[in-house]
Parts: sequence; structure tokens; C-alpha cells
Amino acid sequence: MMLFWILAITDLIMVGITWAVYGSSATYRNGMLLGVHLPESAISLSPVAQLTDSYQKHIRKFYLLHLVLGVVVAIPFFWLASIGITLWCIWFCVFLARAVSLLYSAHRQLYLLKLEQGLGNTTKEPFTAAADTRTAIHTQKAALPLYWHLLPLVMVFIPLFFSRIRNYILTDTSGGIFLITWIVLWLFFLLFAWGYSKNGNRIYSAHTEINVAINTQEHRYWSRMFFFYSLCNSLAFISEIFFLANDLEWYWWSHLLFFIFQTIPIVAVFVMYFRLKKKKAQILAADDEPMYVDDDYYWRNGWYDNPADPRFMVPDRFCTTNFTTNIGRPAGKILTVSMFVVIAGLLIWMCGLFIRMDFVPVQMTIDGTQVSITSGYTDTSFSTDEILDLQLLDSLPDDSFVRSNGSADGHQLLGVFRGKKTGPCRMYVELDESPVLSIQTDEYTVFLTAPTKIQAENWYQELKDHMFDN
Amino acid sequence: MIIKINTLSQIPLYLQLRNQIVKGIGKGELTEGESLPTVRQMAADLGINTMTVSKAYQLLKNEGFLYTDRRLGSIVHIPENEEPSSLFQEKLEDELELLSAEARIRGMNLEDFLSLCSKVFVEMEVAVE
Repeated sequence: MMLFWILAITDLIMVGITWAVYGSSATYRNGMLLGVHLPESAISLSPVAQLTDSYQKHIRKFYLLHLVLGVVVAIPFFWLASIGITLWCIWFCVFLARAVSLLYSAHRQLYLLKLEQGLGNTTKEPFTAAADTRTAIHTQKAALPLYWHLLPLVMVFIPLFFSRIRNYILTDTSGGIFLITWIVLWLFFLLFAWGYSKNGNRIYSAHTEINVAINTQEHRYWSRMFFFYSLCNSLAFISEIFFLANDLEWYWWSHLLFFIFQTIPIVAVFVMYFRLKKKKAQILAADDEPMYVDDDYYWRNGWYDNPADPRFMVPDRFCTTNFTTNIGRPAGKILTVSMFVVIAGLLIWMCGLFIRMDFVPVQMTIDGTQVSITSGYTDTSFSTDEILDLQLLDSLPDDSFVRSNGSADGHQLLGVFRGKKTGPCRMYVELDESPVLSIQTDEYTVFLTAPTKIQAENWYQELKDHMFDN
Repeated sequence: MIIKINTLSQIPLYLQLRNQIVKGIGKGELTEGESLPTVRQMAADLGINTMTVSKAYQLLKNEGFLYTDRRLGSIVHIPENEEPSSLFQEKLEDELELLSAEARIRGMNLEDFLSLCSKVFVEMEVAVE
């Protein structure tokens, strides 16, 4: 039930965002229509207006259809998560691919129309790139230097001075993974800040002061935002690792702090984005000589393909706050293909994982003194000597179980959990099955159900016999 | 000064950049002592290779339009008002010869040609600080 609502609402938001990014390009903005530079007078020309109208009709139908489909694909979550996830992945890929191809196709048609009707740059010297020397000088000084990013890195190593935290990171796998994840995130922010600093300035006007005002503002704010985000991320890491390593009672407080430190920068990004947008619009409204750099040739297929441009990431034409790869560069090609392969791989892996979790039955085998429990997710094995207590319960104990990993879809509990009273546990439980076999070891408690009551009783008896043998 | 280049043109990019900077100095859009962006920044803003910008800057330095300051980078320099060198005279004559030939071929008369030359020349306002 919960998963249905989460997915349905997420899908509606996603369709809305995609419409805002790709669907609204038919509005004349920044001297462009559908990502093609045109003089404003050309919008009312019959072939241009026809093409725009036809595109708008198409996308209206398309987005309405996918608003409905986004909710429909979430329905199987009432039944089986694996079927729901698989259908959702297929819908997600088809939706994104079609949204982009609709836009690119309209963009290409308009570009060809522009060439055919000679609607391009009417200035005496056509240009495809421009730079404002004074703007370049000013923005060099405006951005926050990259060495500031050393501060969040240093901060993360401070908790390592505490022996308990050091031990947790060095001995517990989750502690190690946590530290590595954080370092990867830090590198990610550093890479973003570096990539942004390497990106050139944009020319908006023939007036230098307008270009200086907008570009300086953008460089100043974004470079500080990357740093602030990285700083908050370090604080979130410190708060979480402090609670985790000390195994404190107020476990939920750590999550709350983590959530706060992760939410503040997200809110800040949104606030900053809208403030920058508003300021930019105010500055541009006062401009009496706007300037548009017509590099449409390199965008003729919808994506950026310029082998002479050394940048492999450039600002996206259809969404100015986004970046896209330069397909003309080998690095751009490699990055694009890798992203597709990684995303496709992740989606396939995720579907496979969920299908395994739903359809691979739980099995328990005893080989000598070694007990092995296998499932479609994680396996657990322990020796019969390690069993401290064995019980056959009518249902799961009355406890609050928090999932560390695995599945808790309302039908089954599968994976690693932590009970408030029970402590660490491994779950292999179908919620509508009974009885529940409870095996307590010194490290954790295993709860498992069998497909039939007889099977569960057999497992219980088998384990009991082995315990007495020992 | 706003530098505009056409990456689809047959004219080499470094030459376009060099010409734009010389025109900027001639029109007073770049003044004596003004800093130019670093090679990297200029390349990033124009979306071209750093080697191309470096080649243009080097050419301008050789021609005396730029000099390098260790602290401030590439600085605009306007050569002293002196008699044009014989080398420049030769270059100017050569380029004028080509332009005159093309104007003549396309049916332009002397009066129109001179009036155009005069109009363009008057637009130049070298700004010395």
C-alpha cells in the first residue's frame, strides 16, 4: 500500500518535472524556440507556427497519457514488489526515451526549416562563439577557490581520533562502507565544483556590465553552494557515525540529524536557484541589446556534437541549469555510453534482485554441524554450536523491527533487520505464514518461516536433534 | 570587449581571434594596459582549444599588441606612434591590393572604395591611457 503511494506520487512528480524541462521548450526563451536560435519575428511565420502547434498537441497528449500510466504502473505494488519494479523500470525507460525523442525530432525539424527558409543570424558577421574579455577577468576572481573543499575532508577525519569510532570503521563492514561512501560523495562535490569552474561564461548582451553581473553572480553562488553542500554532507556523516559507532540509545536522533544536514543544502539549492533566476530576469529585462550565440549547427541532432570544443560537458540547451555531454569528444562519448550501460545494468540488476526475492523460496539445510539458510536475497550460515536458543513461535515477537537492508514490502521481511528488544536479526519471514522458527545465536537472531507448517516443524526438530547431539 | 568567432568559417580560429583583438584595440574597445583573460579562460569561454588561443596570443605578442606581465597575465599594448615599419607597409599594400582587386572585379568604383575605406578608418579610435 505504502509503496504504491510512494511510487505513484514520485511518478507524477517525475512526469511534471520532465514536462517542465523538455515539454516547455515550445516557448520562445533566450532567443530560442525548441532549442533553435530564431529572431522573434520568425515565431509567427506560418511553417514555424504550424510545427510548434503540432509539437504542443503531441506533447499534451503524451504527458497526459504518462500521468495516468505513472499511476497505473504502481498498482502491482499492491500484489508483488518484483512485478511492480519490473513494470515501473520498463515504463520509466520508455517514458524518458519518448519524451527526449519527441523534443529532439521537433528540434531537428525546426533547425532544417531555419536553414531552408534562411531564418538564421542576420548580423553582417555570423558567429558561433563569443567571449567577453572583462567578464572573463571578473568571474576568475568571483568563484570560491577549490582548496576550500579540503575543509569538509579534514572534518571527516576528526572523528577518527576517537578510538571507538576508529574501531567501528576498521572492524565493522558497514562502518568502512560508510566512510568510503562519504569520500566518494566528497569527490563528487569536488568534481562538480571543478567542472563548473572550468566551464566558460555565457554571453547574454552586447553590454559588458550585464554579462559581468550575471556570470559573476552565478560563479560566486554556485561555487559557494558546492562547498556548502560538501560541508553539510560532512556534518551529516559525523553525526551519523558518532551515533552508530557508540551504539547509542537515541538511534533515531542520528537519523534526524542526518536528515537535517542533508535537507538544509537541498533547500538552500532551491532557494538560491530561484533567487538567481529572479535576479537574472531583472538584469536581462533592463537589457536593450541582447546577444545570442548561434551554435545551432553543433546541436542539430538535439545533442551537442562539436569535436573542436575541448569541453566534454556543456550547459544543456533545453535546461540551462543542467549539463550535457559533448558527443564530439571521445570523453563525452565514453561518458554517455558508460552512463547508459551503468543505468541499464542497475535497472536490470534491481529487477533481477526483486524477482529473486519474491520467487526464490527460503531453504534451510544442515550439513554436519553447519546450518545454511538460503533465499533470493542474502544467505546465512552458522554452526549448531553457536545456537543459544531455539523456539517455534506462532508469530514474530512483539517488537519494532527496523530494516538495515533487504525487503519489507508488507508481504515478507527478508534481509538484515534490527529489533528494538531483539537486537540484530536476520529475517526470512513470509508474513502470512506460521509458525515462525526463531534461532538465537550470540551475534544475531534468525527468524524464518517455511512454505508449510509441517516443513517448519521438521526444521525445528532437525535443529533440536543436532543441538542435543552436540 | 566582446570577441566573436565563427567556428564554421574557413579562416583559422587563431587568426580570427587575433583579428578580433586587433580590431578591438583599433576601435578602442581594448585599452592600453588592459588585461586579457588567461589562455585557459578564453578557451573555455569560446569553447575552443587552449593551443589555439595560445597561438593567437603568441602572434599578438610578436606583433607588439600584447606583452606578458608575470602578475597580470597578457596585457594590451599599443605600439608607439611612429612611422609604420617597411614590413607593415608591405603587408598593408599587399592586403589592400587584394581588397582592391576584389572590389574592382565586383564592379566597385574608386570613389565608393575610398569612401568605404574612409568610413571604416574613422570608426577606429585607439584608446591610449
